[in-house]
Amino acid sequence: MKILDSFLSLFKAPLSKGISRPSNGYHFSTINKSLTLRHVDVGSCNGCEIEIASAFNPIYDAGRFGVALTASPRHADGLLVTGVVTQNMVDPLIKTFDATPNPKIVIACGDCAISGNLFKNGYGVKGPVSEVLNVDVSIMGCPPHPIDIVDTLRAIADPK
Amino acid sequence: MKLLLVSFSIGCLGALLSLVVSDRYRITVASLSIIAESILSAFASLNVIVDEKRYSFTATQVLPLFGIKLTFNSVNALFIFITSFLAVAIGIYQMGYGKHAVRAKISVFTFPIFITSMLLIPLAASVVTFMAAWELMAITSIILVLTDHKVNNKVGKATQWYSSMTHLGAALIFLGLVILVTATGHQQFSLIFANIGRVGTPEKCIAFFLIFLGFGSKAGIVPLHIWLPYAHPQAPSPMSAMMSGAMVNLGIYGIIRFDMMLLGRGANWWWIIVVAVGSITAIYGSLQCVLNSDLKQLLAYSTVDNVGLMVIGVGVSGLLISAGELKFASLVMMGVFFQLLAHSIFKGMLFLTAGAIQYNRNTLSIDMLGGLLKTLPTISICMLIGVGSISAIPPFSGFSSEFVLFEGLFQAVVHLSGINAVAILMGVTGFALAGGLTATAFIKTAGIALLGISRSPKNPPKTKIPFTMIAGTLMLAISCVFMGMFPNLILDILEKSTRTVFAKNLLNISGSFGSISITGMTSDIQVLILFCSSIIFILGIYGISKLFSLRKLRIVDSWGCGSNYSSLRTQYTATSFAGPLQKIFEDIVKPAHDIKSSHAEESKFYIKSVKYTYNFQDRIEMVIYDPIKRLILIWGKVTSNIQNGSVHRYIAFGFIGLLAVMVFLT
Amino acid sequence: MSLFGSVTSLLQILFVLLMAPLLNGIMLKVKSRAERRVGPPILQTFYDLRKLFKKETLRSNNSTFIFTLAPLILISSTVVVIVVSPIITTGELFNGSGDLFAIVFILLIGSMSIALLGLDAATAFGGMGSSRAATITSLSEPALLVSVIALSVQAKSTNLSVIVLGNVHHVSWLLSPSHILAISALLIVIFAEAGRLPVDNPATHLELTMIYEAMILESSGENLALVKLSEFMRFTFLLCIASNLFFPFGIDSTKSWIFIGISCILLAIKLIFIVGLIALFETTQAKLRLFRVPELLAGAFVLAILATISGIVV
Repeated sequence: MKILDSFLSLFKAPLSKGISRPSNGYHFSTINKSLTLRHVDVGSCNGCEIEIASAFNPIYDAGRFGVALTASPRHADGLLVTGVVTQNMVDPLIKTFDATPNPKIVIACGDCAISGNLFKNGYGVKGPVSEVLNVDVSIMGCPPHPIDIVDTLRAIADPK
Repeated sequence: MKLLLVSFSIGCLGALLSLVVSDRYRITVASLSIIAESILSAFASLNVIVDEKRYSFTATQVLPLFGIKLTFNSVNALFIFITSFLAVAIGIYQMGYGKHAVRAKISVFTFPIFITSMLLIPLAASVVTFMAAWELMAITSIILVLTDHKVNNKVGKATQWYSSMTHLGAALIFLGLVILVTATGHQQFSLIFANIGRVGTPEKCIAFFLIFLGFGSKAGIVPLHIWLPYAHPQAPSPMSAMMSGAMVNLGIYGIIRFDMMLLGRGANWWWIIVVAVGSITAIYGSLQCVLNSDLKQLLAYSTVDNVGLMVIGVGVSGLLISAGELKFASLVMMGVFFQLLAHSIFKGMLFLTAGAIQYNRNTLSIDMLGGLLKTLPTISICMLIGVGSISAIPPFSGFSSEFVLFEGLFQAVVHLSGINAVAILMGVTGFALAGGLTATAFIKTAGIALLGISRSPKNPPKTKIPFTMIAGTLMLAISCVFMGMFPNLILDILEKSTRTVFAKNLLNISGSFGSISITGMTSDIQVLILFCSSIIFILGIYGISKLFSLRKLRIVDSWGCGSNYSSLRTQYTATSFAGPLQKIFEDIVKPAHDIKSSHAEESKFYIKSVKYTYNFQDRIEMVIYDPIKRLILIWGKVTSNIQNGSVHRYIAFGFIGLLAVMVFLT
Repeated sequence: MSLFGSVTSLLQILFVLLMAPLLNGIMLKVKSRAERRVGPPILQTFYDLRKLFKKETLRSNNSTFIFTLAPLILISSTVVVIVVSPIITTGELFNGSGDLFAIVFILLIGSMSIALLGLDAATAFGGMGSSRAATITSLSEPALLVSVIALSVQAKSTNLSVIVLGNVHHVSWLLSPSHILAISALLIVIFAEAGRLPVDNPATHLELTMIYEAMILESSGENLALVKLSEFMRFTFLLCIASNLFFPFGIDSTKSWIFIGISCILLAIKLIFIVGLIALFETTQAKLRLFRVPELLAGAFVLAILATISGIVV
């Protein structure tokens, strides 16, 4: 454990989370030590996906903080959105958001999701996630390092 | 006894009256006469069972030469009770159903007579009386199957199957009984029984199997079950409920009455074969049931499955008798009786709900149904109760009956040894496999038909379901729950019938109210208390979870993975639900698939349409009956050369025949 | 209905209620450790359930009352079998009702209600899960029923308390081929019924490979919590029964309070041991293809038949 921690501290990047707008009714008291997320790819290049997968692998193991990914938004406490929102994914994103029970959190993962990055005014692009939903937490990076992802998710799941 | 005769005459009178009155009142008159008849006979039979009375009745003038002989004891009273109890509910149901759905005048007239003949059969005490009543039932039931022949072209085929199988069965029974009559020189059952020693062993064996097959064809043992999935769906629902719920019982009655009670304790290999046949019947019936997606055909196959269970029970009971273990034999027999009673009622009810669904939605294909719990709540809840019963889950009637039967089988495994025990294991295998498959079949039925949303919105719901239809169904549903929750009351009654079968008092119903507890059984299931406690648990857990939860509920769309298409076409259908099982049992059932795709003219890579056809047929029909049918056709062609309709030729035949006879005589 | 009976029944419920999430946590931890990861805390399942109870419940507009009722029926049927079975003591409240046959069919209520829950919301995945789960149930049920007979042959009783007591008093029964075969059949069935590897992967995120998870994709909040809790409880209950049948020593048969305490602790140790073994076993297994599962269950069925035959013959 300690070895892993020191290993992690080598890569420690600046913490990149910030509450951007009034939350979607997300309470720390509810999501305490247990955070289940539904990952939504709204137009990502799959770089973020690879890093998310890494964040849950045995090396970074986000699972040890009670974080898990789930298949159904009904089971989720929030959405982990990657990529710039394309026109075709606007509706599914909103539907997924609606299908998630309150209280819930929206995490924009990666620069595309936060700002649109390279694709900002591209063809068929709606814009960053914040144009569609209220984003609570953002994870910066293109793609974000797994440690950043783990760190952010840990800060949400276990805020003490 | 007098009450019973009065009730019969009410039935016949009602039938005749229904011919006379105007169209508007016909169905009401017939139904009322059925209700009156069956209430009277239910009371009479219950009275006989409880007081263990015996009556007999002889009328020499009715049938030429032999006359009618009837006896009334607590065994046949049980069967009469089951039939008449079912008939009360069906009579009530028919008042609403028949007004729109039963058009044929003749069927309305025949139905009370059919019921009367079914009440008469168990009473028969001599071969001639029995066969007369049996034929009456056969003919009336054929007329009932034919009811919708004008609007439904499947009726013809169904009737062909049904009438040929029925008459084959009757011929087998008749042959078997004739062997007994010629060997003993008597045609009264009591005298045959007294002189059974005169029958030689080979004759006994032949008679046993002839009678077993004959009644088996009525009950629906594999491979003689073939008429059930044809005839039951085509008859109007009250009639198919009666056929599946009560007529099939008479097949079991015949096996018990003649093979077990009349022929006495036989060789154990007889009963081993019976157990094997029962086991195959149960497995095959449940397998076909789980793969079928026509509501009434599925129910017909499930009848085959339940008959299999009863035949296993009868066989095991016979084995125990021939091994001398009378106490456990009577335990198994009680299980069989309970299963008979429970099956009649839940299967009758399921057919009635199927009728109501057909009435409302105009289809019986489960693939087209869905969401009925929202549109037909009462009928759907009745159906759920039936599903619970048939899957043998407590606190419904199927659980109590299968529990007694299972305990009996278990005691048989423990108390028999050698080949007998292995034979019983075969029965247990059938019982177990059928149990699992039946549960799945009815999860499918209830889940697909009642839940979700309708799979065919083009089929708008028809008129409201009349109150009488709901009342009839509800009556049976309540009795399912009652029999499940107060099994001790039912067991008290069944114990008296069992006692009469064995002419000995072997079992003792102990235990408190609402429990299953019989001497010889190792457990004492307190169904009522368990049910009440589970209700308390449900309420308690609901309360606690409400106390801790946020008490928030939001109604949303079903989760369709974010897409827009409606869930109408993406829902599972009955066929797809059974898909995995169909694939697993592909070697046995061999369904025919075919995929045809047509291309666009421009390029074969553009597919215009894909057509998938899936044909699922009874394999036994293909393997056994199709060759027979072909043989009969060939025979017909050969004989049509001789019999070509020319009168001259017939005169020549007559002349040659006459000459030949005269030559032989001189 | 004695005081002892009532208190021990409550104790049994509490025992299973507390052990169920704990055992799941232990399994997750052992599996993680076997994969060289740290893994979630042992109490993680408790945290998850606590969170779900606090969350909002969503209900599909296509659903019926089954949607709310099915989880309740599932959990209450589980509680009923816990009450009637000998878990920490053989002298429970409804002594005669602890019949193996009845237990099998009360558990079937739960399976049926959850299968109906899957079909209730008119979703494709729900139907898929129900279909698969019903298929597995239809094949594991026969194996279960025959192994019930096999387990009961020696004690000449289908009453679970009598069987367990018989096993305590006749050590030779435990080592008879019949018993060992029957237990192995039972274990396979338990794996199938509880949706563990190699029949179903409880950790899967892919809807197409799901069996039991797919049925509850539509449930949320307290409904989901109830379903999850009762599935853990069913698994724990089945393990309790298996351990009491296979190694019954330590179960209270004297109806004394001290023994109850000892029996609780011993059973907890036994369960943790079994669960550890199962977790290690699962890390070495991949999920079977759906159409290979019947072969496994047919194997269990044959084992159960063999067990019964050897029980009759020996």
